[in-house]
Amino acid sequence: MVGGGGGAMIARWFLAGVLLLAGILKLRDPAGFADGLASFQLLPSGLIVPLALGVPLFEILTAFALASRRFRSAGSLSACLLTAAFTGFYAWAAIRGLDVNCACFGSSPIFRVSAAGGLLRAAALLALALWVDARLRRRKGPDQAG
Amino acid sequence: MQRHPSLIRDATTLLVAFAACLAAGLLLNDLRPEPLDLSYQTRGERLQNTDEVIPEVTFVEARRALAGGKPVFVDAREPDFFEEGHIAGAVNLPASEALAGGFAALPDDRRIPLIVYCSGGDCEDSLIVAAALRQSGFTDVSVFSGGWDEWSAGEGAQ
Repeated sequence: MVGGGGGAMIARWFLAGVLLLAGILKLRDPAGFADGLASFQLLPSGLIVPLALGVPLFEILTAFALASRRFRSAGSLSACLLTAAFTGFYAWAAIRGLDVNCACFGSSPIFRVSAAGGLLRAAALLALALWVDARLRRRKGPDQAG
Repeated sequence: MQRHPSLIRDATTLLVAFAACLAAGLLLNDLRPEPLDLSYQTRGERLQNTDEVIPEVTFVEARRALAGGKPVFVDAREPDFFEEGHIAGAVNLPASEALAGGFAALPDDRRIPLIVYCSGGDCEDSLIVAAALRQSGFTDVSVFSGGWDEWSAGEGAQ
């Protein structure tokens, strides 16, 4: 039987695992992730490559922060921001009817999803990240969430 | 209202961490065997700018290869042109599909000889497709630069 705390812990570790996997797969293929970012037609071209190189490292760092005791609240906030950004990107693509491939989990066809599937996946991860963040901050109390 | 200090502290931590990750990403890029150009290029542009030399075959060599039956001919033109006429047994793989990694129509054996062609003359799709195939692990890729124009003229003259 998993209680509320156990559920939050499982969710936090699940998020950490997803972000670690996504970061490692993107790190192996930054060019594919750059193509994915460019497919959204949202970012200026000068930002695409620096973000394609830096975001995977940030995801990996977020995963470790989520798994740590000291930085878990910063990690959950980071997970919220990352998943919110991807949700926003996919929502933008859906509104504009763009055929996008985020390459969020590398360029392997195994992880390739449609724009609608990507939006659902990102939104689900955002909901989970928000829940984990809210649980962490409520549990730790004001100014002790770290 | 008491939550603000921890949120502000976490947000500050994230800003510093994000900046550090961007800097580390740029540094790691320099250590890669083939670093990415910081000004974004599409995959097609990257493939065209590669220094890799892809061997070319002549009409006679292509014809001999077809008679030998071993290589697979890859037609890099769009499907409409492919339907109008192509080298016997050729597989249609337009550049857009190759750039998206759509190699399902090709054999699984990455060592099989492949000869890529497009219309001929100045067309670049055969080079783009050939470079994409090489990047995907196909080891024996060459280009028939005379393309369909030379092939259809040559075969018609037989």
